[in-house]
Amino acid sequence: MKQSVQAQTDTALEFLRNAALSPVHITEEAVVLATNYVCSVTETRWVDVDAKTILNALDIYSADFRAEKDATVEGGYERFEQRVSALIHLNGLFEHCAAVFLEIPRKARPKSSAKRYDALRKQLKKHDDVHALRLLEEIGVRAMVKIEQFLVAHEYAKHADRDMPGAVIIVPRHGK
Amino acid sequence: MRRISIGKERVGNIFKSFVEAELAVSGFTLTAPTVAERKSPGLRQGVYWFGNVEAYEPEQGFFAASTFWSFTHELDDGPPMAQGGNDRLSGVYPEGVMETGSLDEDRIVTALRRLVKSNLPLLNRFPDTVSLLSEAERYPGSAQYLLGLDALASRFNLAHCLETNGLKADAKEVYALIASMGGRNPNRLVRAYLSAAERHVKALSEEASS
Repeated sequence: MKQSVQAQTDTALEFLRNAALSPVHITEEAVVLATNYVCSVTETRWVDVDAKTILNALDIYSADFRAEKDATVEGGYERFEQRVSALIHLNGLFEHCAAVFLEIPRKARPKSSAKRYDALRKQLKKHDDVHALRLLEEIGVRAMVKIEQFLVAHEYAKHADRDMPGAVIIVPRHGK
Repeated sequence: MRRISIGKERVGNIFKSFVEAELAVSGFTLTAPTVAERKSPGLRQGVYWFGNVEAYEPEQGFFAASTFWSFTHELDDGPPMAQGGNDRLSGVYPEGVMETGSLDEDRIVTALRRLVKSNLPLLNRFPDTVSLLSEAERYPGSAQYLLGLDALASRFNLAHCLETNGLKADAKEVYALIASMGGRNPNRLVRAYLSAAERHVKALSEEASS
């Protein structure tokens, strides 16, 4: 279910306020964790999260956020903003690739990362999904580490829906 | 296999020159061959290096440098007090830089410049115990990154910052809490923290009653 921007902002703020981190210590990776929380709680796909929503939540969390990043991070807030946007976009790609991979019948899914990568490429070609295919090939087989984390999350979510109604889905951490 | 040696003395000289040329302007002075530091009441901030720079196989050599801040109380174990990272409990150690393989002056100076560019802004942001204390109070989730990762040391550093800034009643309260924490824990460091906390409680009590 696609949730409103307001719900995403509120959820990101809830995460940030619970973590109570100084803006100095809110790294790009922490923002990815916050976004992950937003996706889990609001049942939003990564591709439906606009990085601007999360960056806006950071501004609400601390009026000094931009100034703190300018003062303490190489490249300042501008570089931080670019990296956050790129990471959210990238996680959207990994999540999308995981969903495409899951279209392959379970018994036909290869086990090794290299073979899974090839199978995913074939599947993306079948969909004529040129954009995702190009991005995936730019990253190469190492993208499978992140995509496989989303596969685990998908599987866990399926079990959670069936066996544990209302269970909180803990999606693995997605770092750099 | 070819063995290389740049040597501790040469690296020490490179570091010394770097400190004089590029860090003195920010208030740092050499206090040991491996450490440059600046001080404010209750706090030391430093840049330090370590590594395998004596005779080594090319793939075994490394030069690492990092920054730290450490609280100037009796349990301060920041560089150069303790030899290795595992022996240190009290201070805060932001991520540093490392060069591996064949080492020369250019590579070492480049690494040090990289370190200063990435870490000095953080040291400048928290130059004294006042700034650390106020940020830790405002953002409790960051307290461990400001006052120390170890729970006991972090609490002791909090009391030290309070005491340094004249908030003696608050400091005494935190020291008293620490003194009551360890029970019969035989760990040498835990005992050292508990004893130190007890001494501070006693001294602050005497000061208050005089």
